[in-house]
Amino acid sequence: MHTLTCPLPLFQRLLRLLAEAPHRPAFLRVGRHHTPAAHEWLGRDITLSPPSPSAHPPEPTFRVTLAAGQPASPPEPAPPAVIGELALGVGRQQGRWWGVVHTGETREPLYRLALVGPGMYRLSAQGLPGPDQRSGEVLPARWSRTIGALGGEGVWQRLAQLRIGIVGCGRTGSLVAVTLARLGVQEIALIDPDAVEVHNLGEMDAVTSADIGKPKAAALADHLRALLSPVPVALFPVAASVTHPTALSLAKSCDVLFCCADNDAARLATAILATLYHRVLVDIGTGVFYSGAASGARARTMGADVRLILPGDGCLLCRGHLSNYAQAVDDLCNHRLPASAQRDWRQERAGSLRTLNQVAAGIGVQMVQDLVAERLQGSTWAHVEFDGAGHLAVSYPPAQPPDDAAACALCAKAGLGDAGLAV
Amino acid sequence: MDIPVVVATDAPANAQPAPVLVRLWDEAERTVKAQRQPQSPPRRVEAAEQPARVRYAYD
Repeated sequence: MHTLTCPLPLFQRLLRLLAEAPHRPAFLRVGRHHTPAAHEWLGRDITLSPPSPSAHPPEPTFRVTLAAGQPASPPEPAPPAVIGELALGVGRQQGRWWGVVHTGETREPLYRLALVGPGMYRLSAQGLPGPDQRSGEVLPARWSRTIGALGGEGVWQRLAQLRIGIVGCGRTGSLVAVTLARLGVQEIALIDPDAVEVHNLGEMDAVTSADIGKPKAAALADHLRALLSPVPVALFPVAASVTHPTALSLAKSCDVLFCCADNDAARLATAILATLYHRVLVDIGTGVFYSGAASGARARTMGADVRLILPGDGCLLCRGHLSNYAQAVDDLCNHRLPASAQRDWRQERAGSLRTLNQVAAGIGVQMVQDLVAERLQGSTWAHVEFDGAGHLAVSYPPAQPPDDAAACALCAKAGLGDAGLAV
Repeated sequence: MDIPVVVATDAPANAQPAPVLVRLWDEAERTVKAQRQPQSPPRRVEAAEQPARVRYAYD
């Protein structure tokens, strides 16, 4: 099973190049994501000349052309390193596409074309199964209000078919998980190394005192199943940090990754995965701090940063970065993803407020809804502040990704896939 | 537009045209056509501000 995944801005550039010179093929360099069940090819950049046969290692490339009719057989053999063909219909064939992947002596069909960006379109080839659709008499009634508000059943179906991963299933992550499940999302991966503790019962969603001691991910999965019954939902709880092989394998297969962790090392690891595999990243951080305690006049600082980062439109580092990048790199390089129980939260912040987590989680999920509904057209960052009088202000800091992706260490690895993890 | 079949596959095409591909191709053609028109002078680009930095990082 082969899928070609392409950030929408890159695909649009590809179309413009083909529109400029319709008789000339374009070449899409791709990264690889191989799993036992599927082969995913990740569009990286475009050239107008075939890949160099002397490149070492060879750069896998798709040859992309326009076709006015149903293609029959290749007029010429593929140049070396061309591992796949994609033909896009024009004229009477506009809107159709064909694709194959060369696998030694045989050719296998391209099963899906995924455009990562506004709309989150995943186009399946004829005769091959498409994404599972929510159906049945009870479902439209269950989600009728949601479907109406989102802008139609097509938007809701595309949203429900996404596989969404949540890294960090505590206060914010549990709220995100419940909101997504209630929206009808069919596949949710839950990744968290921690167990439920007494203090989680105050702010975390969907857990009870009976869950104390259980892994947060598993406890949350149990409650989501009960919440949605009898509607089936595929839940993948992993009681490990995102860098654990099981969690890693699961996270890189998600379409959207929410990072709701309480440490920058997990935040950085999630951002790296999202960048390497062209996944939409929603990074949510909250905080409540007090200062001036000695004077008796304690000033509160309280807010959240919610960032939605689209592949091909910057990365977490060039859109707000991390609050403590050096520490995150050090922790990650030394395999220290600190569990919450090993840290003294009082050294870090004043505490947590469920109301703040709800605001942040709601904004994050809303961003994904608006992305799928094509209202949101690019990466965005909501900076939320409650002032001393309790008034809420939301600002959107200007985006300043580098003009040249190579100027950002992480953006330079966008779409590299498995080869990026091996570095 | 007179486009020959320049490459071929033996994979089946998708049965129905995907509206999103129709729209994206139309947009690409419009953009290319507009680029071929005489261009007005580029707008002056203001100096970049200091990049904003994230502030909150807990769950």
